[in-house]
Amino acid sequence: MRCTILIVVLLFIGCAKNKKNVYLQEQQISLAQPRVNVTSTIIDSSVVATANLDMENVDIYYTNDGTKPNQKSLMYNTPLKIKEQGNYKFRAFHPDWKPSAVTKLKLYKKGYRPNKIDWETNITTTYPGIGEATVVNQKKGSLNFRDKQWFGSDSIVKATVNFKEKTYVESMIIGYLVDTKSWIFSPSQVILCFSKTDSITINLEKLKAKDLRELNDIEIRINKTIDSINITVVNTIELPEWHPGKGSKAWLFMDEWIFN
Amino acid sequence: MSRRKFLKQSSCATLGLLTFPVYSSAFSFNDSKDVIVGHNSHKYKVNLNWGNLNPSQTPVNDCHEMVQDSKGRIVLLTNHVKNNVIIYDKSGKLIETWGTEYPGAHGLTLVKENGTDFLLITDYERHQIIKTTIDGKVVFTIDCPLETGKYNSKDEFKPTETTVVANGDIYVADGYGKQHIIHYNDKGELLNVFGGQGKADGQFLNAHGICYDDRDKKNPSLLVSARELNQLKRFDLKGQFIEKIDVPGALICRPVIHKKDLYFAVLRSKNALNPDSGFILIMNENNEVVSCPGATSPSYKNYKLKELYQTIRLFQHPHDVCIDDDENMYVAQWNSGRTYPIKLTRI
Repeated sequence: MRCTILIVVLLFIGCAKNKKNVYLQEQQISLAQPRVNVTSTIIDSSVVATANLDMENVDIYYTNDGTKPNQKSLMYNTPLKIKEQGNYKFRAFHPDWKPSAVTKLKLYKKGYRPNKIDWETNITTTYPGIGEATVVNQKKGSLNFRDKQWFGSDSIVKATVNFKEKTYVESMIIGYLVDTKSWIFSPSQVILCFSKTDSITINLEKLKAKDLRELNDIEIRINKTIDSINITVVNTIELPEWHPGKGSKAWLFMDEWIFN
Repeated sequence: MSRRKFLKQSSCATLGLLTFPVYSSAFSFNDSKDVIVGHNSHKYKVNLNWGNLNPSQTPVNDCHEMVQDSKGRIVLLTNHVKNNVIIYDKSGKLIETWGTEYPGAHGLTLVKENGTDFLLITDYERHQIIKTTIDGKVVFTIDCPLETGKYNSKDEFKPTETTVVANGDIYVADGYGKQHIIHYNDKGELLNVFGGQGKADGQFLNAHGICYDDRDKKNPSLLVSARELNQLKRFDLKGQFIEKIDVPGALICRPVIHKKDLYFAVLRSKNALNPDSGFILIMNENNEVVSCPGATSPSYKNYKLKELYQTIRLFQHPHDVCIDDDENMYVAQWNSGRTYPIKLTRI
C-alpha cells in the first residue's frame, strides 16, 4: 500500500513537470548599462562621477584600470571624486538579471593649452562647433554629434598649433566620435609636422564593427621641445561596402586636441 | 552557481533524488524562478515564446499594432506583404492570415458597428486609410485630404493612427507626415483639421498615436501622443487643446485604453546608450504613471515625474500594446529582428 502511494506521488510530480514553464526565468535577460555622468572628462584638479541604474537590488561595480568589472571589483556607493586620468568602467549586477554591458568613462588630464591656432581648413562647415577654438577649449563632446563641442568636417583638416614658448610635449591626444549610422567614422591618417624634415605619420585601422557609436581617441607620442605643430587629420575617404552610403566620404568629428 | 542554487541542489542530493534522474527533474523547476516585470498594481510574468510562428510560412517584418476582436482573437498588423494581418487565439495559436497589399501597414483600430467588427488600417506608404471587414474585404479608403489646403501632394500624408468616437466619426493622426489630426465622419467625409507640426500646446512632433477617451462619460476627449516631445496631449472632439501630460524620457506610441487605465508601448528611452531601449508604460485615470515594465519605477517629486528609462534589455522597440479580457498584455515590436509579439501575463 505504501509503495502504491509512493508511486502515485512520484507520477503526480512527474506529470506536474511535464507542464512546460513558458515564462522568462532569472539570468536570461541582461540589465541595461548604468548611466554614468561626470562633471568634466578633462581633469583640472578633480572631477565627480556618478553611476546609476535606478532599480531595486541593483549593485554597480567599477574598475579604474581598464579591466571588465565583476562582483569582486570596487562597489559603487556614492559619487566618486576622481583626480587621476584613466579608463573607468562600470557594470550593473542583479540577482534576477544577467550583468549589464560595460559603461566606459575615459578621463583625461588637462593638457597644455596652445596660444594660437591657424586653420588652413575652412572651418565654417555644417558643424563648426563653437568656432576656431572648438578643439582646444578643454571641453569634450558627448555622444550626440550635434553637441557644440564637436567640430565636423567631410574633408581633410589642417591647422598649425602655436604654443606661447618652446615647450616639451610628450604626447598629443586627438579625441573623435564614431557614429556609423550618422556617417561619422574615425580618422584614417594623422600627420604631425614639426619642421620640413621632421614629421610623424600614423595610419589608423579601418573600423571593423558595423554599428558603432562611441567616443574614441588616438594618442601620439611626440617627446620633443617645440613651439608649433602642423597637424593634418585625414577623414575616412570612402565609406565601406557594408555601409548604406558606400563609396561616399565619411565625416570626421573631433572634440579636442590635448597636448601633454 | 549562486549560493541559493547550490543549497537547493545539495538538499536534493541529500534526499537521494539526484540519483533518480526522472523524478529528480520533477524538482528542477525550483532551480530557477519566473522573473516579474512592472511595478505596484501592474506586474507581469513574461512569455517570449507566445505566438512564435515559422517565419518561412508566416513571416513578420515590423509588428506594428495589435487589437483584440469581439471573438476574443488577437489581431496583429505587420508590414510584411505575405500576410499583413495575422490572427491568433489568446494562447498564441495561429488562426488565420490575410492581407498582401499594405507595405506601410502601421495603425490598426477595431471598429464595432452594430455588433460587427471592422478594421481601420493606416498605410503610410500608400498614404491611405483603409477600412476593411474583419476578414480583409475593403469597405472604403481615405486618401490625402488635399482639400484642407494643408498638403501640396498626396505623398506628404503619412498617417500612423486612427480612432473612432461614439458617433462613428474617424480621427486620423498624420504622425509621419505633417502632424495634422484630420476629422472625418463615418463615411470618410472631411469635417475638420487641427494640430500640425511644432512644440506649441496644440501641435506635435510625431503625432504617432491617437485614441478616444470616454472614461469620463460626461467629457469624452481625444488623447494624442507627441512622441518626440515625450508628451501626451488631450483635445476635445472639436480639436481644442485641453491639457498635456509629460512623460519625461519616454517616446510613447499610441495610447491604449483598457478599463480605467491607459497603456503605452514606449519605443525608446530618450537618453539611452543603446537605441533599442524601449519599455511599457501604464497610467491610471488620474494621469499618474503607476508601472513601467522593463524600466525604472515611476516616481514623482513635487508632482513632477522623474525621467523614465529602460533598466532591462527585455524589449527592443515596443510599438504597440494590446490588453486582453484576462488583463494580459501583448507587445508588438518595431525593428526587433523580425520577432513575434511578447505576451505579459498579469499577476
